[in-house]
Amino acid sequence: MNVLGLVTTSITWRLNALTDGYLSCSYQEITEVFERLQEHFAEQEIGFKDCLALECVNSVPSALVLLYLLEKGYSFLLLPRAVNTSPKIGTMASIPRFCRYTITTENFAAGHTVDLKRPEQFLFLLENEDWADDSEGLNNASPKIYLQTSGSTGSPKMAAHLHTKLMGNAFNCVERLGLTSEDRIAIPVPIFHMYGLAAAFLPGVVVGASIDLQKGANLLRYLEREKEFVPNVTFVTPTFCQTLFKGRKSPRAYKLTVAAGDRVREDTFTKYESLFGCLVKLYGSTEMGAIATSNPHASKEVRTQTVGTPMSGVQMRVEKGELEGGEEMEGVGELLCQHKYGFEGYVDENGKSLGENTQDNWFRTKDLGRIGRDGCIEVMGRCDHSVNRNGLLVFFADVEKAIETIEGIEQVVVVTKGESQRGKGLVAYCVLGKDSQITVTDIRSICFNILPRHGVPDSIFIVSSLPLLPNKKVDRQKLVGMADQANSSK
Amino acid sequence: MSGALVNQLKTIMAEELDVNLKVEEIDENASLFEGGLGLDSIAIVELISLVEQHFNFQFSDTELTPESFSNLNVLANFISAKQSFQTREAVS
Repeated sequence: MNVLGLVTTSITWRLNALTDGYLSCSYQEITEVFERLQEHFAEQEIGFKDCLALECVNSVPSALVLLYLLEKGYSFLLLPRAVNTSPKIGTMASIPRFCRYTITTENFAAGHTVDLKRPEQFLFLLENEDWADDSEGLNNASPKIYLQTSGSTGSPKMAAHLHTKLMGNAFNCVERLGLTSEDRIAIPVPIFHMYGLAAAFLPGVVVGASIDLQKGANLLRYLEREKEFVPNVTFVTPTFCQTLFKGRKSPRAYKLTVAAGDRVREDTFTKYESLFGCLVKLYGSTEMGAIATSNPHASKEVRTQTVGTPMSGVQMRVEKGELEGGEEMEGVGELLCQHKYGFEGYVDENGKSLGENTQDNWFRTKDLGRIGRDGCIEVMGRCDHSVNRNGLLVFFADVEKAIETIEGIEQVVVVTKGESQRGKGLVAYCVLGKDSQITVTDIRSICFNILPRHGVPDSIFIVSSLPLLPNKKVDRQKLVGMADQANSSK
Repeated sequence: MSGALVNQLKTIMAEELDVNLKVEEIDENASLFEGGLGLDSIAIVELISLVEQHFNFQFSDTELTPESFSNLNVLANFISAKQSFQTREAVS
């Protein structure tokens, strides 16, 4: 499948380049790199029937191999590079048995020269000793890309996507976000995740935009790359939004910032826009790809409150079920999704199908939300992040949002623990801002003024930081455990 | 001068930065990032703000570079230069 500059808007797009700060490759050169990779694969006797695993980082060599595998129609799994692992050794232990080879690419530092047209300089192939081709043709019937789900519990499973549908996802993002070949796109989020891949990287490639792949992005590296690359579009996480507006000193106008992965606080949204321009929230998942995002031209209210309307080929509905908790929660329920470009299903480490988590062809997102009259979707949090108290449904996200408006409070996470007089126990963990002297007693007493009684947490803890999962989301299970250990104020 | 600054920075990191490091564990020549003291994106923003608070100056965007924060020695030299520049400005 041809993936380069498919919907480009400029005749000079071939001069645009992919860069990572050390290496650079123009679209014009990519064709030749592909030819060399083809020869290299032939020499190594890598056939199309073999599923591959690509240990992927945000670098030009990784990106080129990824594009090559898509272009030539290989089935492959995308993996993050294990920490402190030499590319020559790889991480064979974690490679599923259905992948015959692992491909790793060298990390190049400043001053290192490499010829991207000589794959032997940057690409390493390792055969999986545990490889077992008993996938019953599932992997290779039509080219697929496998992505690890970011689930925090249970054994990891992989979501299988057809290449054609993944590209459909990318085109959806191009159309909705209005990307063009004139854009200069900064990608500080990993391209081995669905967000970085299908919403940022591939949309940038199909329009022939200039792309800066940043790995291990922090404020200092980001600012350094920004100075050199001069992006006008960036794809970030909500946490990185916060890092940018807290850490940088002067405003800088972007054409567009896209944030996905978690909730963006309303005050963060407003502050961010006042300094850096238009911000849109993108809603999606490893299984479905990009489900919805606001049009950058939508009103600020729509962009702040919602994730916009569903992408082309996406239907959404709300299943109220047992979740309905009275008039104030009208229209709220689990968001179900039908996606023209959604995944084919999960596979286990042997490549065997595990089903799809669907019901009558509707994918259960496990997210709570509602759909407005204008079709815009409001995502309120995870389904399991709500409890019934006093016969009324309490969303953790609502309580968190309210407590975060209290001055001196930086971040709040609410979990449920045990039972209280009002039903399920509600526990809030607060991280205070710099120099804040606020006490748990103060916080709780303010809660009585800003929350309905059934929404006031039974216990509040002040913590210096919140435990995080490897995917950087808050480890709520750990917080539930912490409720037993810490002292509370009621 | 920068020896004292290095020690002050170590104390700030150990006592005020949420990185779980003791003063004696902090090597002034180790990188602040991965492979060294391992400060993540959030900790770096916190460190910037602590340095500004303790040494009473503001970084500009152009001064916020990975080089200025490559290790505590380099950072101490930067702070020292910044302080003497401020003193000169105040005198003139």
